[in-house]
Amino acid sequence: MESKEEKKIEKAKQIFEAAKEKFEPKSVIRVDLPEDELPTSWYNINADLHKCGMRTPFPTGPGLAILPKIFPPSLLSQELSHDRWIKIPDELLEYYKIWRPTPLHRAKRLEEFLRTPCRIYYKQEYVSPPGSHKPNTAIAQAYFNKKDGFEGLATETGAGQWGSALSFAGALLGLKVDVFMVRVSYYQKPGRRVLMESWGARCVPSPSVPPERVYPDMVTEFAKKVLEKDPDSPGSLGIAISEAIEHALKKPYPINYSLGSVLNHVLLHQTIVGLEAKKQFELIDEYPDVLFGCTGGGSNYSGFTFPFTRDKLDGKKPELRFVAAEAEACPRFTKPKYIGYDYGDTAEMTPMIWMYTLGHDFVPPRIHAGGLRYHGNAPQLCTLVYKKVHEVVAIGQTEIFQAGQILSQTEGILSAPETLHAWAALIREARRCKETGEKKVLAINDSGHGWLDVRGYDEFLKKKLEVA
Amino acid sequence: MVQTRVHKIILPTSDLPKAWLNPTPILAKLLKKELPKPKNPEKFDRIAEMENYWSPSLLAIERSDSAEFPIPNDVMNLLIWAGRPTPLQRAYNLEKALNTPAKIFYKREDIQYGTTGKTNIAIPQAYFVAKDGFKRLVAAGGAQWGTAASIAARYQDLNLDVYIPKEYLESKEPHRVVMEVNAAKVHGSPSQDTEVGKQMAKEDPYGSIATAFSEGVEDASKDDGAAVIFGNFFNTPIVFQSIAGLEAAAQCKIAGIYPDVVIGSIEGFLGVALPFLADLAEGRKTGTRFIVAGSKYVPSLTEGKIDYDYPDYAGLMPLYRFHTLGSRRTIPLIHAGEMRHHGVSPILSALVEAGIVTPKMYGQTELYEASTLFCRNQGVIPSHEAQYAIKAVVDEAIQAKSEGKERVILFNLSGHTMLEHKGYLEWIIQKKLQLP
Repeated sequence: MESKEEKKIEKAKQIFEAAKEKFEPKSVIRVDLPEDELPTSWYNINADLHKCGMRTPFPTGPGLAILPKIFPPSLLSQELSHDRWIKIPDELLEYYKIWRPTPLHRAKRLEEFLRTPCRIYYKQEYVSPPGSHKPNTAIAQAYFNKKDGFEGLATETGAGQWGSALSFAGALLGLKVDVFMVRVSYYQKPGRRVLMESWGARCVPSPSVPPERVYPDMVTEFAKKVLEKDPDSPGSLGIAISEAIEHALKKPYPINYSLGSVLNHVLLHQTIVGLEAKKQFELIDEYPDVLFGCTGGGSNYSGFTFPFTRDKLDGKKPELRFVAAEAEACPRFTKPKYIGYDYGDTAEMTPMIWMYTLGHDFVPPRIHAGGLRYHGNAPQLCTLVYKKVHEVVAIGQTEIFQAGQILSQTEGILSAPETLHAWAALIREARRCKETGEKKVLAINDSGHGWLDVRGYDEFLKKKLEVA
Repeated sequence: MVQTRVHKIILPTSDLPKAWLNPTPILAKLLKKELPKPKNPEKFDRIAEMENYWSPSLLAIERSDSAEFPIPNDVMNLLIWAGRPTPLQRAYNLEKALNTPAKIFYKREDIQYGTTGKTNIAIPQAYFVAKDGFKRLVAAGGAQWGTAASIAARYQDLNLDVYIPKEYLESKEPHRVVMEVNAAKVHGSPSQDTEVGKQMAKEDPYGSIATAFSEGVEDASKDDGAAVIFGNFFNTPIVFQSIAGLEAAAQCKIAGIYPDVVIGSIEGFLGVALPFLADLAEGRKTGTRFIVAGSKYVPSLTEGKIDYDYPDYAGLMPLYRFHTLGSRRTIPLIHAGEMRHHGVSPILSALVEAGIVTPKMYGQTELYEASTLFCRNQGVIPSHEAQYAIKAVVDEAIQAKSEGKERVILFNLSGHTMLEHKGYLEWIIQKKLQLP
């Protein structure tokens, strides 16, 4: 498998050599990977993680029993697999090709603005139709559920990035998608609902009951319980997860549950980002010194960094650094309540997983980066942080929007508030290198655009950010 | 075993077009006569006045008969920056859903930084304006145009004032935020910031592309350090937009195809069609069909008269000959904001008049039906302008099926809708379009 990958890279190198005459490497602005260079396997870090001195801790608790009832066999086997490479089915590659491979872009104008000696590259995951990295796993989960005979997927969504990615995947594969959207976001972010319902999903506010819940077969007991206590409940991600799991367990039709982050198989699907980036760096004869990503549940960051992490674990790149950026308002890595087993949701329905956690009843302040408002993180990533293979940094809201404005004015891209945490961390490093004169190669996963979240930018410009 | 199919044809950066095409000589050859020149109204020398608000380099391009203009290296780099070359994509899933023998290809202009192909026009214009020594840029047009101009202005470090129809400040609010992030000052036209704006506000409170034009002209005329840029109507935008078509032509060659039908909305048509019109003019190809799609609420191409009229509301510009509904007409609030103009460019007008390009007019309901089909199969939720092209493509593909005839359809996916979703809100959530 590996040697085949290497052969392909060799071939791509030759193509690049041939093109070099016309194309000065110095002037590289963007590296496009041809479609036939799309990675054909995902990289499973479970095969190499033990090299850091610890294996991925196994989930535990009574919640384990629900897993086979809400996930299809193929995804469960990926969740537990220790094979290094897991093949991407050919049919699934056809779906990936609708937007993949995504470009790797040099941030030359940002470099000039910062007067840094560093070379900065960003992986443009926002070019997918829903505008983020999320469809990488959404389309894979939809594919395997369909293959295993299921007709629909239930899920929760906060700000809406995950819900829209799964709706998009459902539309392409002909699966029904039932989305439980945090009630307050449901009314505040009609733009996201527009996307989900354009792709044919059914989206309801969580919690709610009829007539507010327009689809009678989507009514849940948990929502009733919550509303009896608090009729005006604004909802939370924890409540929405519990509702989606209850709905999937009830199976009004052959339907499963789908999660957009945290789990091993989700991180696995996201490694296509890092594998592509690796090939693109080889094409221009570069190798990054520091990799950056933002982290809420860990999937975009891990997907981007794991294929590179392998080189560090194998001792090939001992100096390689990884920086996971989280929100100051939700600092499970930098100020954890504890490191150990905790539930994934508020209602304690899920298995307990080993992680850095703020406690499953933690309610984070209302920052614009909705995707980073999760109390825990992926066990695989937590392991790497615990063993100090990866670094972590927490960034405040004012700093991220400052980074966002610099980025927009130099490069021209408007990044999502989540992604801006990574950019802010990168800018700190680039500025530090300006002082020291280090000519490092910095790479970042530009995981999503901010076109649907401009309200945060607007409040920043008007100096009205609720959380600094 | 699934056979490997190519979905996106990627042009290597090194094979980008080296020069823009000029539509003027192509048109002259096609029509076998010169395009009617702009003229002055009775009392004013509006043609000479253009020098007060145009940048000299751009005015030279606007009035030139040269076949093409070389693309400066700096501009090329910035165009690559913002997303060029864009892929040419095959709509396999849509073809399957329509069960059509037609092969459908679409140019992914949506993938660029400003969410539309408008940066193709804004980036070179800002470059020439800066080269000519101006310090301030004035952009007049729709919200997408303003966003593209705000990116281009930052690339050249120019101050920027944007005039967009006033109603768009509400219906296309995210665009306003993007412009402000890029340090632009956004004016809702008719505004109280210009003399002509104050007058127009009494007659047309919502504004249109035409009112924005008048205010942009006044603003730039009064300041020697400022020049105005336009995203449609004039020759210059068509020249710069030709890069999309030139890429598409090169990509068709790589794919071994040639389009039988080229389709675009009024806003996106010429950008992608120009090289194929040039093939027709030079006799390299015959029989290619061209379709431009517009709104039945703004039916300039089918119900407007072809006559000399002002491109702007207040008549501060010279008179041009084009399909017009009358420069003082209040334009209904269709969601395709870039198309709320009483007329179309003189070039497009002449092509339609000569029967080379067929206009098709649609209401809004049928647009959403077609774009829903598109987004559920190809993923991208199109901009309101691109919906028109998609509706025409779906019609063409269905016709191909009923005739049982293969054909290659090429269309311009000129943008996606992430920065404006009021129309989709009416359609999907409220389930009622104000203008069906």
